[in-house]
Amino acid sequence: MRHVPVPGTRHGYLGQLWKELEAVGIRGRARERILLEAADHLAEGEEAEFGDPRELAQLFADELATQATTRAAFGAFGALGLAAAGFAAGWILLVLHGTADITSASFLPAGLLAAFALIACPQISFAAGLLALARAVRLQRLRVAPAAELALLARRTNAALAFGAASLVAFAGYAVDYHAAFAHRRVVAGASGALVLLLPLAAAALASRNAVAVRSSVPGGAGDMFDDLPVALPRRPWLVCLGLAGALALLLLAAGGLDEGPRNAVAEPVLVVGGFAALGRRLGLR
Amino acid sequence: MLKGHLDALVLAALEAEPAHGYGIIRRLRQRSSDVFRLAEGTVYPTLHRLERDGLVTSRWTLANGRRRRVYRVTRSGREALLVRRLEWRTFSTAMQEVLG
Repeated sequence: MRHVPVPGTRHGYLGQLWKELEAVGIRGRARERILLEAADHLAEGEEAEFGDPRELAQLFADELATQATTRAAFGAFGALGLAAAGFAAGWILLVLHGTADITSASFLPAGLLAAFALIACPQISFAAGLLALARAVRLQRLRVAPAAELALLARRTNAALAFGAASLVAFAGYAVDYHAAFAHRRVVAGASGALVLLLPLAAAALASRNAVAVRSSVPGGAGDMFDDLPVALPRRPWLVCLGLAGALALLLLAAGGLDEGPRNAVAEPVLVVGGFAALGRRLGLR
Repeated sequence: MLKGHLDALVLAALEAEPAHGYGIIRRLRQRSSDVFRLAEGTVYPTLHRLERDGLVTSRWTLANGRRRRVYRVTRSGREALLVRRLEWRTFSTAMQEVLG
């Protein structure tokens, strides 16, 4: 049905409901539908019987916030999957006929920064994305989730998207900075493809921002990673982190051989522990 | 207490024929002999959620020159109502036996 302004939303009960919906972040089509239904209802019923506008708006927000935030997290995970596939394809395309020497960058500091970001950002994005997915799967079963849990889910989603975008920018920067080592058309295709893949991530970030705008009032704690794990572990975050870093070191040592093994076995655990220290609280890991 | 059972009550009110929000409120009052009186607006968040869960569908119609959202229970909604009825009968029988 075509768009029709809701009558009577400037003054009176509907005006108050409009303001309260705005205050809890419900806008656009969702607000229009609520107001149209309220207007139809009040044409037959009494305002006093309809309920307090503030309480009603909050009731809608509590339910919509849960749905919007979990949906945004699933959407972000899909967009990140697309970006990851493009990232992998771009990398294969770029290095198909040889790799670049680390010192051959046009501007070495930028090249080194891009190379480091190419290693770190995808891993952080992947970890934050998995954490967001785990929390979203759990929360989607709830009718209304605590506001603190939704805020944590949104932080994980946004971190995954931000580091995913940083990975793509780093890839484009790397391709351009080390262009001398690769075929020109591969550099152009790889860099432009990476930048195009920013679009779905931007769309997912916008959906996440809109979801966060809807403010839930449901009390409760945010929980941590132990609430998201399918198996029960001792609730000692740093012990789990160090255990994971140690296991990773052993795995990389065995897989990397004498040349790369020791280097990777040190670098990766340092990255894991550093990421845990820097982002652990923000992502609800500790 | 009523809030916890609003989903089932709304589905039951829509079981026989489709209705808009106010119509659902009227049916609940009539069928409960005016015992079930809740803030009428609270039926809408419930209806919207039931629609998101696929238990009801809705569409806009025109009534007296006003846009009206009319809700209809789906097959999944009927199945969910059946389950809720069985759960309620078990619960209410047990309550009756305990309370005497």
